[in-house]
Amino acid sequence: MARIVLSRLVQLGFTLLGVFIVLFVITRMSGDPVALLIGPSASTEQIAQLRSAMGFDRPLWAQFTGELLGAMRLDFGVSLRGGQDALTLALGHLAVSLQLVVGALVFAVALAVPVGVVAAVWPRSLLARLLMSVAFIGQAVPIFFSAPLLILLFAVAWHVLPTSGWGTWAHMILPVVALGMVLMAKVARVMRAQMLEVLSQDYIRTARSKGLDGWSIVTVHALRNAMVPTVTVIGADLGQLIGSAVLTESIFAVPGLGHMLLTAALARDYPLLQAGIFLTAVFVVSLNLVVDMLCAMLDPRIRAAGARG
Amino acid sequence: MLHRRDLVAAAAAVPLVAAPWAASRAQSPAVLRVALGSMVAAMEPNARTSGPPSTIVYYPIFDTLVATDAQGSPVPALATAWRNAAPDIWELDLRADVRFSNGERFDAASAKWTLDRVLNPENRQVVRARIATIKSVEVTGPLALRIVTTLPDPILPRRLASVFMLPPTYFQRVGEQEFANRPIGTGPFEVTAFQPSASVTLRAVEGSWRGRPQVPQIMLRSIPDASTRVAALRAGEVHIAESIPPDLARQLGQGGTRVVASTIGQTNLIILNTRNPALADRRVRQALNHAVDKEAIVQQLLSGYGEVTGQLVATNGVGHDPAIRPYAYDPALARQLLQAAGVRNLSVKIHTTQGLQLMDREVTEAVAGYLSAVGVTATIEVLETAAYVDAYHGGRMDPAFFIGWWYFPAMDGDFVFVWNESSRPQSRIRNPEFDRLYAASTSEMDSEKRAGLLRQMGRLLHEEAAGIFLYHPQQTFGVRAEVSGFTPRPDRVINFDTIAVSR
Repeated sequence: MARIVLSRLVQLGFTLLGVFIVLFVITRMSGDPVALLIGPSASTEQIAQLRSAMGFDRPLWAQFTGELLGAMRLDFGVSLRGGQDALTLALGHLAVSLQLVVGALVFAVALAVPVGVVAAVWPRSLLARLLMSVAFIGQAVPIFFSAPLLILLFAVAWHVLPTSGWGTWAHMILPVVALGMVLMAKVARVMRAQMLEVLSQDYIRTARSKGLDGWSIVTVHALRNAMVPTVTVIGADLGQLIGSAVLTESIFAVPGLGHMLLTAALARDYPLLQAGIFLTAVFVVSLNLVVDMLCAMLDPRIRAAGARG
Repeated sequence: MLHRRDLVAAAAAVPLVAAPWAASRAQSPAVLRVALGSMVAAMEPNARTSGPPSTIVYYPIFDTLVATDAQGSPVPALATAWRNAAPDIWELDLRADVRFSNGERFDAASAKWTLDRVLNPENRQVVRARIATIKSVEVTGPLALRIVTTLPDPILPRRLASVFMLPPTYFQRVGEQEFANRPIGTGPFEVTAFQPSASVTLRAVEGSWRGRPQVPQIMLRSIPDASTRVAALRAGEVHIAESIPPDLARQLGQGGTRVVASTIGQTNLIILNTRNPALADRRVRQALNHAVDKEAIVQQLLSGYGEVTGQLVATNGVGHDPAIRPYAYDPALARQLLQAAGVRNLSVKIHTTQGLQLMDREVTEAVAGYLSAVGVTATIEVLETAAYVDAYHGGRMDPAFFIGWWYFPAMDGDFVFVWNESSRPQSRIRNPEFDRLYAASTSEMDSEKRAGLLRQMGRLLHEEAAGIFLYHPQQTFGVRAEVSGFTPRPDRVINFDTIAVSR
């Protein structure tokens, strides 16, 4: 296990350096924040003055090394739009995103695992077909359609939930459901496929011939083995979700990291962008680590390989 | 070691606790709730003002020396009177007995401190560009200020409408970052809670010089998605929703909601590069103007929320000339003019943006369509906002581009005419007569004569067809029936002082 952690930490270092370089090149290629910040009503001299006050007239290598050294000390500088410490600002948004994404995950798993199991145990039943159809719709309907629909139904027509915003449980429900539906459909399909595969294995037949009842075969023997690939899929998706929940965040006015990254990119707010991407990278790599550890806990073979390798 | 039971248990832990809900909808009407397209990330009003809707947030908290009224005229705010002592000297009398909401006194010294702070390039204050003509600020009495400009500046008072006055003692004590979280101003509201980029809650203060507001509390929040803003208004979560796109405005007007629209200090047009050989002939540029059905664009793409125009300043700004009519839509005349100019196979590329202005890309596409109808090959290129602004300031826009030029909050044509002056890299026209008029206007201290010069400039740009003149856009608000006393203003702020909410 220590070996896994160590290799992930090394990986994290390289990932962050790579992300930093790519982001620096892309942002500097795409124009300068000063003209955008000052707007179209400023003269050329005024733009030049602001540019020099902000240090964007320095040579690129000086800007690069300055920012890299800062980033290594976790000092990304001050947000150009916000004026506050960029990392603190990004952490606040990350906390919101985590609530949203973890909420969506819990919602998805809570529905998807039973659905996948039922669909695998009774593959030809009407219930299984119905559940999988619903799951399929969840995956097929894009968020930009489902989210406004949820708002119109639950907030405008029935007045049971708020349209948007963040802060209370009630505010969480619609965005969590909208985001969770897509994940739910995917997890249910993976779960179903894995369960079908596991249930056809020899050791399940052995368990059956041992006289174990169906329920304990499914929960004790099959589910655990089917969970390994499912956890991997969830882990990969979760990493994406933290940065890509931007549509959900925009529609429901959730002040999350995805929306922050989008506005920071449009505004060329380099410090905030660097801090936000840094947090996303740290999150994704740590998530991979957690997934590896979870899989090792679920599957002794992975543990053994880790110990040997 | 994790067991399957733990996993199943964790998976089953759905958040079913739909807790203290009931709060937001059946709110007491004492709180005025407003949905904006975005919320400021920091409350430092002169540093990062990027125009509305951030000014909507600042206006209830802060004051400027000079304000703009609903008709676009400069009116006293923290300055009660101003006069020219010499062409390059303005003297201002400041309002007596004004205090910031923390008790700090506002006087000439604090006004000078704010102006000096903005003027120092080291402080990176974006608003500096608007008052850069100021050479020095002197305190001549407890409530008297003398402002010396580098050159005679007839519109200095209007320029001052961009600068919000800050409390020097408090600001220096807490520092820039803390101030951005807990700002203090002289306005009738103070901040009680601020979530950067998300929401701000304001409470009415006692004894503001602007009087006691009708509502004791305001909650301003960001809802970036326009259809969600409309949904929040229809659901009764907010009383006012800013910036309703034309297609969504049709959903309002029933169920206790209405649309309030008014023309802002802005002109949308397609600038033509008169120095590009293909467009050098004035008749060609006039032909392009006659080819476009402005009225249809406004009616169909903007649902009527715009005023068709043939000049750079609407009726709400200095320099508007009622005698300048929009170019008539006349495709036959357009073809004639092109023929007379001996132009065949003209092709024009129009640069535009997506979402920087309301319906910018769609309007540009419609213009391109009308140009094609008279035999001009028009293509459009959509630029990302930062690339567009960069190309604009670098003077690299050729041969044509869509732009929204605005002149609020000063409400003076100078702010749009300036871009046509030859020495500006942004200018796409080289016209000695225009330059002469512009130079004369910048030092003409007689306001009537100066307005006459601005009108002359407007006529010249119209006759030269320096651009395809389109329309003055309108701002649109969704407003619930419970709201009274709401008057939209051409400088795009909301005057919360007069707004009341009934049950």
